[in-house]
Amino acid sequence: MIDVTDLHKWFGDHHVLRGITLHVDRGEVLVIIGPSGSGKTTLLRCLNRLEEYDKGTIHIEGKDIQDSRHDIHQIRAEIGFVFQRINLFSHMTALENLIEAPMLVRKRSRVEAETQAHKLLERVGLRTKANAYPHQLSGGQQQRVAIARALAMEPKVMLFDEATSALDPELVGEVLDVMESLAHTGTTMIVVTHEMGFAKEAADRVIVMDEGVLVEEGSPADIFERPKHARTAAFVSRIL
Amino acid sequence: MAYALIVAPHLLWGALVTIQLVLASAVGILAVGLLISLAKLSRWMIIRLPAKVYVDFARSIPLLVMLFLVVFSLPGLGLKLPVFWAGVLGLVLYYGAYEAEICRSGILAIDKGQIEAAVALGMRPVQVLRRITLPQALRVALPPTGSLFIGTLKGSAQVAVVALPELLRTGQDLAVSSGRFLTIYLMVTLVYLGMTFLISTGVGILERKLRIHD
Repeated sequence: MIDVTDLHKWFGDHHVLRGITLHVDRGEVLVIIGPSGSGKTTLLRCLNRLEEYDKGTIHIEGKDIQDSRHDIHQIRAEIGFVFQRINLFSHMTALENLIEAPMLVRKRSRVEAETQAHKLLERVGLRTKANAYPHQLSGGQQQRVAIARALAMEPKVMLFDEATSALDPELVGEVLDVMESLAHTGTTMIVVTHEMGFAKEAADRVIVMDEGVLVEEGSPADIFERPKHARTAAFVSRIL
Repeated sequence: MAYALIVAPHLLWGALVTIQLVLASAVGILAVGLLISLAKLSRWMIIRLPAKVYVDFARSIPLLVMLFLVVFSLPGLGLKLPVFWAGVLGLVLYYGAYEAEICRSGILAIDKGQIEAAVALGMRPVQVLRRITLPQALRVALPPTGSLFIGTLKGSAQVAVVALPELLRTGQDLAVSSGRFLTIYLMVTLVYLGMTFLISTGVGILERKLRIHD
């Protein structure tokens, strides 16, 4: 459902993505790992054009996302994005965060949007926090609201950009639990993470990136136990 | 004292004109401030530049000069406005430039991540502006905007020079005709104090109502 072909991206002189080619199937959980600065986040941000890319193509369900005949806003509405920095709307309650885009973008009625929002809050374990503002929630709770907010759009794919890196260590688990249960329901997910436990538990496939290229890909067992590439082995030994 | 009671209705009438002047100006100041701040943040030079020139110009001249320009120069260009509306226009053009800077810093204070999150959810730029950026920016801009409106109220006294019978002008006319300068100007002062107190109290209440944090 997602096809990336020979993707290149420069930040000024810095060649961040150097020819990425990648295919993701429907229902697949793909984990991207690699040292910081390897281009993982940039790749993810290119997938919904939060970042423009310079060369190559990205097709989502057959649609070229740079083709001006397709409405990029509609394409983005189909792609859930969970940020490292969480980015909840701070002037809205958890519930309001969840119903905003469905009402505005999907033109749902308030009743419909709220019913669905309550279900999603229940699913991420925050049924009682519907009327809490972000600053009244812990980081882990905020990130779970952010995941629910993305799910409220019923996206075809969920992208996670180091969703747990900004959290206190004791709060990481609750977010990973939500992500894992999501992975087990057949949601298509692309997850950039340093959490190797999550990769082992939930990933169908792991990709290793370094310096803007895909170094190696394989099952979690391949990557963590039988890395072929020296750079993968070095990275894996550092983080495990 | 008896004299004070006799002139009080006249002064209150003048105060009413001042209030109308400030209210009408406030609406214009908010509109101009918001539009110009957005223009100054535009990615297109052709929109950004005129906005910058206007703001720099308006903030570099005295209010009195702006009022003279609008009230006495516009008729020469064929634009004849009633003196009340000329006064409003002068105040709006002058204070609108300050409001533009207030709004701009309010907008810049918004966390870019929230805007990005809204974009990622498929919202269009106008939707992001209306639902995410402005509601938060206006909260940030509210206290300085309140101060600016107090400034506008005080500045409105300068419209007296173009013969609009607002509070100060009314007081001046009464003082000159009666010779009781101290009484009249003390009363004028009290009415201004009362009005600024009302504005700052109103803004304070609004601020508390809109506060989300703590």
